[in-house]
Amino acid sequence: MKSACVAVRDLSKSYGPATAVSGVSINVRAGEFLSLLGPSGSGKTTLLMMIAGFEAPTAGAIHIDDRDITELAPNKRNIGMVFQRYALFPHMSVADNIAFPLRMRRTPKAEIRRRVEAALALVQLEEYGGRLPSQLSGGQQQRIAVARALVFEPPVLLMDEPLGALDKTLRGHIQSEIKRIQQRVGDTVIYVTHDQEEALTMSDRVAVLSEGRLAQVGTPIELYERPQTPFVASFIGKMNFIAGEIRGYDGDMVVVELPGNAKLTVPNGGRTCGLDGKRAVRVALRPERLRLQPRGQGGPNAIPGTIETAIFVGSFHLLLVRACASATELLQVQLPAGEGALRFERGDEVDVLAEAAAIRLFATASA
Amino acid sequence: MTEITALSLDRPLAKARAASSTGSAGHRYSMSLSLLLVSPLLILLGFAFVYPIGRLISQSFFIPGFSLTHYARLISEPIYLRILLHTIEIASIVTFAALLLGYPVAFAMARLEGGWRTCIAVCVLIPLWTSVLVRSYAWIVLLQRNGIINNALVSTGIVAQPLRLIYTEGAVILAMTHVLLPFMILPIYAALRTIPDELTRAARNLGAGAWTAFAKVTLPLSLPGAFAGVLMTFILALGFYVTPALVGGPRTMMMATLIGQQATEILDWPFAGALSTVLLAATLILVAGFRRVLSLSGGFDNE
Repeated sequence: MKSACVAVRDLSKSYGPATAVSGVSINVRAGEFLSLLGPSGSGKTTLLMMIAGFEAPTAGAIHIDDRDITELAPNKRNIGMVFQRYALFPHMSVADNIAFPLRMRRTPKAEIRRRVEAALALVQLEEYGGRLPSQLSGGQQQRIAVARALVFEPPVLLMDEPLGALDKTLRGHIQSEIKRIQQRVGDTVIYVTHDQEEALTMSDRVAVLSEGRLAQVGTPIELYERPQTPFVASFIGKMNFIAGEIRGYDGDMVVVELPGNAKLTVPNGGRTCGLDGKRAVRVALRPERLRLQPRGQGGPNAIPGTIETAIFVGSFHLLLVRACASATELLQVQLPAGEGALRFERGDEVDVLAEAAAIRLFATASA
Repeated sequence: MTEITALSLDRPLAKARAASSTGSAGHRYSMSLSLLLVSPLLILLGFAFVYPIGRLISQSFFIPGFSLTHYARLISEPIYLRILLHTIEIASIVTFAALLLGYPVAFAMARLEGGWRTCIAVCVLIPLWTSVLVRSYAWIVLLQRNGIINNALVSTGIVAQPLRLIYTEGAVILAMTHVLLPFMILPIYAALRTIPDELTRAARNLGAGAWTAFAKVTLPLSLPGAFAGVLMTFILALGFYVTPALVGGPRTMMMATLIGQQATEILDWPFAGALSTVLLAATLILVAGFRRVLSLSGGFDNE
């Protein structure tokens, strides 16, 4: 199957005074699995609906390869789509559902039969062609929906939170199934989800949306290691934020003072975002990149604190530490589990150690 | 009628609902308590419905003494069977007209949003809440010899003489269609509302144009509602009394009018009973036949 690239340029959508999507530009490469990730109301579904042709953009353009499809009717776009609630036609058998797009394209009968069988084989439901959708489980229905969306070999496949209605164990299974099918047919996939874990595990690249705008596009590792905005930092994985103030620059390093006189020295190169000489900053620390030492043994880049709670989660210990001065926010610290008992317990006075390379600074919003 | 309107259009949803309710379905009322709870209704139905009908039917057989004379008269005098057939014919035409007119209204109501939907709903419901008598008189005002329509036609010179509009079969069909339209629109609307938007979108996405998507997806899924509407309208039309009595003439006699005449004017209760029994039997047979055809064509849930 030939896959195509999708170019979204300055796409906006407003409903009266409310803006759902504003000025989004993304280039999806041919054969790429790209997720649109964001909380509800971030505009990710509206963006997908505009690509599918169900919503008309207020401004901007959508191209598939060299073809401008901005004004094209949805049935002329030749884009596959998997809907959130499967959207299988309840009055048609599974085979008729899959044959539907082929019948619409006036494919010869024998060819339809052959391709329906191939599509059923692709999703490993060969035996189910004669059943009604209601006679299948949720996961099976979702696989049929995928088969129906792929049977006419569209170069682009859109998926709108296709696993939202499934329970968690089934979701993991279908995730790998979708990934397997995508790798086999080589389609360009645009996948909408609000589940950051799902986006990270399945995607080649992830586009994070917030309030109708594109916050950042990048590979899962890029988003995790080098978030460009505090929103991306907090939305992808867990993140601690502490308010701080820049005290000075030391060569390539920035010295940040935290409440309680703790000082962090952070490398300046590429680690800071939009500071522009501002003094008030938010220091972002990943819980899994923090370590603990007994008070006084921390050395440089130590934040003194007291352990409030220690929770054993299974694969790791989660400790909530109250940094001495900033009394309101608790620092989350994740320590790997396994090697014997935890050396710390509730009430211990500790130094939280932050790896300099893992610290990121963001300008305090509107400060 | 419940099994018609409660057809599960969205079976996955219905199934999920059934599955989630099995937990709480363990709590059931005991048989005696259930009987106690429905007994007021049963008593009311017994006195106000079963008893009079039973009495009417028995009168048609047993007054004076057991005989089939009333039924023999019904068959031997062709006028009565002709009126029965005519009633069925008018009911069919009215049902068909209501379906043709009602479906688009229901569709618009299901598809439009906010103010427009309310506007249509009001237009559908206000007539329903208005007395049939008032609506029938309104048609007389419109259709009579020096009514609004005739006055307009004559004053604009389209016709020289006022047309004969009232007391015709056309007037009966027109007024009955209008009166019964809400009974067609509401079940179709209910069925259309249960069809998720995603299905139409899926059809469009898979390559169907707007019309094809409607014909292949929306229309078949709304058929149970249309069948319910057809059945309801047809049954009501078969026994309709007020409107044909007011806007119809002597040549457009329908069964209900005939029965009323026999009971209240001629006071021949046994014969009125025989007519009622025949109308009831005809209605039941037609409805049963109708349902059978529909279930064969898959219109009903035939799991």
